[in-house]
Amino acid sequence: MSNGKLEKRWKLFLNNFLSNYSIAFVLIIVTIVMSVISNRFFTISNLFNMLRAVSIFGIMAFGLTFVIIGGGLDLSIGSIMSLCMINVILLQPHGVFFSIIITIILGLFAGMINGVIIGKIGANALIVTLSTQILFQAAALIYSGGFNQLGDPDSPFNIIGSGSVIGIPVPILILIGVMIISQFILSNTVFGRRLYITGSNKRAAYTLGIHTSNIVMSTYMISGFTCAIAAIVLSARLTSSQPTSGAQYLFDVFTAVILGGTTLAGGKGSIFNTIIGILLLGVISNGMMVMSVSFSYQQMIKGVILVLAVIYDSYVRERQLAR
Amino acid sequence: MQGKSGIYKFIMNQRLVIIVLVLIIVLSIVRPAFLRINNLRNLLLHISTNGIMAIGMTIVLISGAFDLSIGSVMSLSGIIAIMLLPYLGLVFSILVASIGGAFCGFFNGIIITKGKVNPFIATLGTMVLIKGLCLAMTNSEPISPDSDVFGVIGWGEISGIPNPVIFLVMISIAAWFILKYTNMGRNIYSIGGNEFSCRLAGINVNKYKVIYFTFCSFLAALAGIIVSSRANIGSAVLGDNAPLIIIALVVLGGTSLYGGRGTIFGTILGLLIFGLIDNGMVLLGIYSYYQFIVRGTIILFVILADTLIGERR
Repeated sequence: MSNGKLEKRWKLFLNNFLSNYSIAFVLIIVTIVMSVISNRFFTISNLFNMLRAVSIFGIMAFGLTFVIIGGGLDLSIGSIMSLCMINVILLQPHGVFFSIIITIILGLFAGMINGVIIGKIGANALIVTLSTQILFQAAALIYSGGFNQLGDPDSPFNIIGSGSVIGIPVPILILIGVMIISQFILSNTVFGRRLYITGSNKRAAYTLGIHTSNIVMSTYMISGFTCAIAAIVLSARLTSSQPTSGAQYLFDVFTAVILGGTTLAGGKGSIFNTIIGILLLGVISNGMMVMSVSFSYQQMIKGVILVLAVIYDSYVRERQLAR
Repeated sequence: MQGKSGIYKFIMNQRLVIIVLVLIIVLSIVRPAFLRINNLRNLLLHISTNGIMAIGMTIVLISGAFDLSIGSVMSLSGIIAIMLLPYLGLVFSILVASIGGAFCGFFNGIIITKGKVNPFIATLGTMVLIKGLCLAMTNSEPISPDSDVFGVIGWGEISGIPNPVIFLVMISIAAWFILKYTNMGRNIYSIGGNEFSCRLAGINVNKYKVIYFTFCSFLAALAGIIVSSRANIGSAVLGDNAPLIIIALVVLGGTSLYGGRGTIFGTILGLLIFGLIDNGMVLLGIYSYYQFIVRGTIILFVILADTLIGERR
C-alpha cells in the first residue's frame, strides 16, 4: 500500500523534475556519459579547466540573460568584447587600474549606445545590434590598426587571467562573482522584478508606471559591462588581444542562454537556467576535447546537441501545457 | 496644405527609390567612372548572389520566421558541387548540390513546425551543424575543382549579361509572380500576419512553412554554387557573413521582422542601395575598415528613420 503511494510520489517528482529542469537532466546525463567514456573527465583539474574555459562566455551569458529577459537581443556582444580587449591592452602603459576602469566605462558606453537606440527610440533590437556589431568591430580594427596587440608578460594585470586564490583560478572566481550579483539583482531588487514585467508585457508595465525605456536601456548597459569584464579576463589570460577575437564567442553565449531555457520572447528566464546552459556547453566542449575529437566534428556535434536539446525542451514544455 | 501632405506622403512611400536615385546621381557626378558599362556590370555581379539569397529570406521573413542557416547552406552546396564534379559531371553535381541545400531547408522547416522550436534558435543550431559538416567534409581546408568547367556558372555570360545577373532577374520575377498571383504566395502574407487565424481558416500552415524554408535554402544553395564557381573554391567559411547582411538588406527594403509585410521590389531596392554604397566606397577609395563604419552607420540610420516615421503615423 505505502509502497504504491511512494511509487506515485516518486513518479510525480520525476515528472515535475523532467518538465521544469529538462536541460539540467540533459546536463546530468551528458556528464555521466562523459565520465563513463573517459576516466580523465571527472577530475578536479579537468573541472577547473572546464570552468576556466567557460568563464569567458559565461560572464557574457549572464549579461545577455538580462537583455533577453527584457525582451531584447544583443548581437553586438562579440564586437564590444573585441573593442574592450584592444582597449585594455593598449592602455596598459598608463597603469593597470586605469586601463580596467576605462575599459569598463567603454563597455558600459557601448551598451548605452545600443540601449538608447533600442530602449529610448524603440528601434528593432535585432537590426540595431546587427549594425552596432559592424560598427564596434570596425572601431576595434581601426583602434588596433588591424594588428594583434601584445601586453607586458610581467605585468600584475595578468593575475586576473592566470592567477589563483586559495587554489581557485581567478577567472572562475570572477564568473561566480558575476553570477551571484546577477542573481541578486534579478531576484532581490525592484529593478529585477520590473525587468520581468517589462519583458513579458511592455505596455502593461508602462501603464503600471514603470519607465520601460530606462529598464530596457539598462539591460544593454549590463550586457556591455559583462562584455568588458569578459574582455579584461581574456586579454589578461592571453596577455594579448586580437581585434576580431570576440566574434567567435557570440554563438557560444547565445547557445548557453537559450539552452538554459530563457525564451527569446522575453519575461522568462533565470540565472540558474543560464548556469545550466553554460555548464552543458562547457561539459560538451570539454568532453570532446578529452576524447580528442577534431575541431570540425566538435562544431557539428555541438550543433546536433543544440538542436536536440531545443527540440526536447519544447517537447517537454508542450506536454506541460497539455496537462 | 492638402497638396503638401500629398507630396510628403509620396516621398515617404517612395523613399527607397529616391535614395537609390540620389546615390546614383551623386556617384555619377563625383566619380564619372561609375557610369562605365564595366562598372555597372561589376555592380550587378556583386549584388547578384546576395540578391538571390535575399529573395528567399524575404519570403521567410514575410511568413514571420527567420533563417540564420543560409550562410552555412551556401558553403555546403559549393562544397558538395565541387566534390561531386569529377564523378557526376557539371549538371548532376549542381543538381545534387542544390537538392542537398534544399534538404537543409526542409530539415529546418520540420524542426520548426513539428518540433515547435523558435526559428531563431532552430536555425542557429542548424547553422552550426551544417558548418561543422562543411568543416568535416573539407578537413577544414578550402577545396578547389580540378577542371575549369565549373567556372562556367559564375563567369559565363549570355549576350554580354553575366549568368548570375540573369539568375537573379529570373528568380526575382518568379518570386514576385508567386507572391502576387498564387495561393501559396498570398498565404505567406496571411501566415505572417496572423498564424493562429490562418490555422482556424483551414490553411495548412505547417506545410507552407516547410515549403518556404525549403525554397529559401534552395536559393541559398544556388547562390553558394555561383559564389564557389566564381571564386573557384569551396570553403566552410564562404558564407559566414552572409545571413546578417542579407537580413539587414531585406529589412532595409521594408520587410517587417515581425512578418506579414514586405515585397520583392522592396528587397531589390534594399539590395541596390547596399550595392551602390559598396561600389561607391570602392570608387572613392575608402579604406576597408572605414567601409564597415559607413555600412553600419547607414543601416542604423535607416532603421532609426523607419522607427521614427512609423511612430509618427
